[in-house]
Amino acid sequence: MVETPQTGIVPQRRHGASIGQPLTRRDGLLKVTGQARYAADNHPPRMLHAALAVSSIARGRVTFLDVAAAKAHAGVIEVMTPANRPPLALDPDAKLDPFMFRLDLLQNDRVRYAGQPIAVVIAETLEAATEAAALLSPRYEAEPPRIGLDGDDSFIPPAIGPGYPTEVRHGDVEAGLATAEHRIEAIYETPTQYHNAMEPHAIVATWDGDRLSVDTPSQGLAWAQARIAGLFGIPPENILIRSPFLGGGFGSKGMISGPQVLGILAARLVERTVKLVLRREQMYGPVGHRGPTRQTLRLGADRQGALTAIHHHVRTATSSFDDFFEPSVQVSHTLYASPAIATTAEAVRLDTGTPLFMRAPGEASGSIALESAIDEMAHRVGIDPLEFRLRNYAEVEPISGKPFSSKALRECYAQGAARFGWEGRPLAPRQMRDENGLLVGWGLGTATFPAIMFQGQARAVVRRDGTGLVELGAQDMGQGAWTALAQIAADSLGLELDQLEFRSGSSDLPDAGIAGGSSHTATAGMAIHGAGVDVIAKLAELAMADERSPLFGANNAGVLARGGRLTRRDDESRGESYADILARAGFAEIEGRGSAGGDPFAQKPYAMYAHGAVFAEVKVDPELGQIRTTRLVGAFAAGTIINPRLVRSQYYGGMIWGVSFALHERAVLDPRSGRVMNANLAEYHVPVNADVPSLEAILVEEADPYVNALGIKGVGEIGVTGTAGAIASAVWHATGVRIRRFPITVEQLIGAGPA
Amino acid sequence: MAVRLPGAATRFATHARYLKLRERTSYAFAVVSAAACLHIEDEVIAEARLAFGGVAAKPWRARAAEAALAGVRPNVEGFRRAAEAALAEARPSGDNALKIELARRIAVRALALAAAGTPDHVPALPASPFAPIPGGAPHG
Repeated sequence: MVETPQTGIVPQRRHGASIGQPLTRRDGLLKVTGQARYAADNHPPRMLHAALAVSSIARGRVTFLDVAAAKAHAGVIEVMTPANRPPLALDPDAKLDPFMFRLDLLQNDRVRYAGQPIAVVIAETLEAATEAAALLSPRYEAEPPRIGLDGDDSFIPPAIGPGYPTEVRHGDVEAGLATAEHRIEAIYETPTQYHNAMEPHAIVATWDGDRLSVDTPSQGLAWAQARIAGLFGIPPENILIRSPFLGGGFGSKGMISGPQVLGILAARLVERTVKLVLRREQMYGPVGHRGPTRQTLRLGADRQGALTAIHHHVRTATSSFDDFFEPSVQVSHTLYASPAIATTAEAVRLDTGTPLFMRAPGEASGSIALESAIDEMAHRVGIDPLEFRLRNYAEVEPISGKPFSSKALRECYAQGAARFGWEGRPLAPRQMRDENGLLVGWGLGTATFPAIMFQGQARAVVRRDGTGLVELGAQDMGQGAWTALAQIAADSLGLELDQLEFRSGSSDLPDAGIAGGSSHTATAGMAIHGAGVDVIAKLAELAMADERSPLFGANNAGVLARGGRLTRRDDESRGESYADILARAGFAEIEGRGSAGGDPFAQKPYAMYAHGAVFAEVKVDPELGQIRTTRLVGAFAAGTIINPRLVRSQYYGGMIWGVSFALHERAVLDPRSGRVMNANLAEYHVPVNADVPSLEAILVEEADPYVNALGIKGVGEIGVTGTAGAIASAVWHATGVRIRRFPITVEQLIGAGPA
Repeated sequence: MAVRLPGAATRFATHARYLKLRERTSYAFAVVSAAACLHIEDEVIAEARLAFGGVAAKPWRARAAEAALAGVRPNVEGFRRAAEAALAEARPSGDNALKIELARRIAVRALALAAAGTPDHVPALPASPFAPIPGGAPHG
């Protein structure tokens, strides 16, 4: 292989580049015409259908399953229970690393949460499998379930979230509170929430000896491949996972779930292709959720409104058998300057499925509490909540003291406020009414999310005909990876999009890292960028070393890659096409590889975050307490914007999620049975279209020279943060009633006194 | 399924309203709802109908309120008295005491809107308390 020359050959961004263009989704036509093939759309020949039987108790033991009745049902092929489940190479309860979550794979008769799989019926038709699953008529030895944040004694977890410290102390919080002119202490509660991706977890699995082929939605193909390989004791390369489209993931498809593995086990048991699709109500147990939180905020501020102390404490819950702790307190480390900041956590173990990463894990639940508390403190001090935030603006990351790699939050506040018309907002609540007599309130929330990168790889090729190919196992959950990553790919090769073949969404392609943590465009994009640069470097090397090339000897002057041609940087009249370079060299194609990951030399000295400000207007019926969000303006700064249309859509989606968090979403658990009582989309509310107000997302310009060479931060989760708190504060501003238990409901508003 | 309305019901046609209080604007059960119909003659309520949703296992007709409304002028004071009469014997079962107060309030609102006249057009979001009080010509 040729070495990368020392000359500057990085493709230049320019007018006409694909990056920055508001292209529509390249897969849009497939999706709106129903041709995009999701996992459950696959029907290989001789495919069987599997149906899960799940536990109706939350804690105890299965004492009886009427397997005979189920097997006697017409069309039933097999019933898989702990008695006949094929062996695994790894105990599903083994936890070899913190990201290896324990799975329920029929390893015994224990029941540890309601909705846990206890058997799988495999039949010729879905109807037969479903009916036979009902015929199993399980009997149990039930124990009283532990439900709710007071359901058990609490303990201090060893770490929270993906390994953050449980306790962080900076400065003297108690002294900061003692000397404060203004103090508030308030408790905020957020409920158990379920991801509820539109597409349920589904799998179509086929074994061929010790080789496995599956269609299943995955936010992390390589992780899923490695997990399955470990469980079945086969090499990862024996496993092919196709996941070209996901109907949403939100974290619940980040790691392969128990039910997906049960589909693979079922296929092994019957030695046929098996399809298993979760029913909606089965998504409220074994596939993760956001743990409930009770957060205590203690803030102190001096006479001028400068914060003197922040203490953010969270009590959350995990399952009885595994660890994931919603890291709500992280936001308090970065958002506001304060000489003293402490964050602490405790948790209880409950008889539920294990909580998991769910869109903005920690940041969503934490920011609704912190932003509400900040709003309360601003009112206590008697200044406008925007002015209060500016007085406590973090010029450097408060605890670490690191400068931010970039932070255009001031511009977000300014542009958002101007667009919303924030100026002139009355300080006191319950001052504004609309023409119909409804109470009107305005609220503000600061949004933030860390700029994360995982490890990723990509492969790029320029072919003899001058066209390009870029491939990697990236994942499109609906966010637009097929489009945004192809835009980066085209620019990395100096080609137009229509000269590029882009392959993705399959585990036999280079590992592109996970589509999670708002990291995917940065990680996969930088891997692609690296692969493209590698190809162009090799092409340049070929040309510059060839006496017959017009680029011969360009060396230190360097070349530009543009429109399928290399040209001399110092003389654009001298150049030639990729096709000519390859033809003369006699190469069928030239290949490059790229890899990406966070750069420790940049991460050590700099704090890296995206920021934003969300302004909300709500209207509240003064007698009936009905609340509707009527306006939302968000302004976000997240580095380089690859595709403004898709990015705006991500912000909109996040802001709508924030509406949902503030006003709609909650799982209601039955304290007697431990079951989710509203395990369906009729009763587990998310906003309908008519609840979504006029939305605006302003893309605030921000250039970040440190996060990565393209300056990409993430946009997938930040929209949730800030929004929920803005709405909560707007409800207070409309009514004068501060609701601290989310979602805010009619009952709470009316019950709290005169709404 | 078909619903037949008696022809005599047309006497309510110009003063009828249904309101549904809900946590989201569509595809949600009522927290409480109320349907009110008034037959107004010479600025006096000749006859009234009032029924609630979301307060019992079935729609609940408030006959005491209907009786209280007969023969009175359509004003807020009368509507409040009717709502009190409607809920006088209501008792909570569990954590739903607030429904009684909400039912009172929505009854007053539904009666007031019915008295103002059936809107010419169904509002964009039917039955939403957010729909502006109609200023246009009454229905019919």
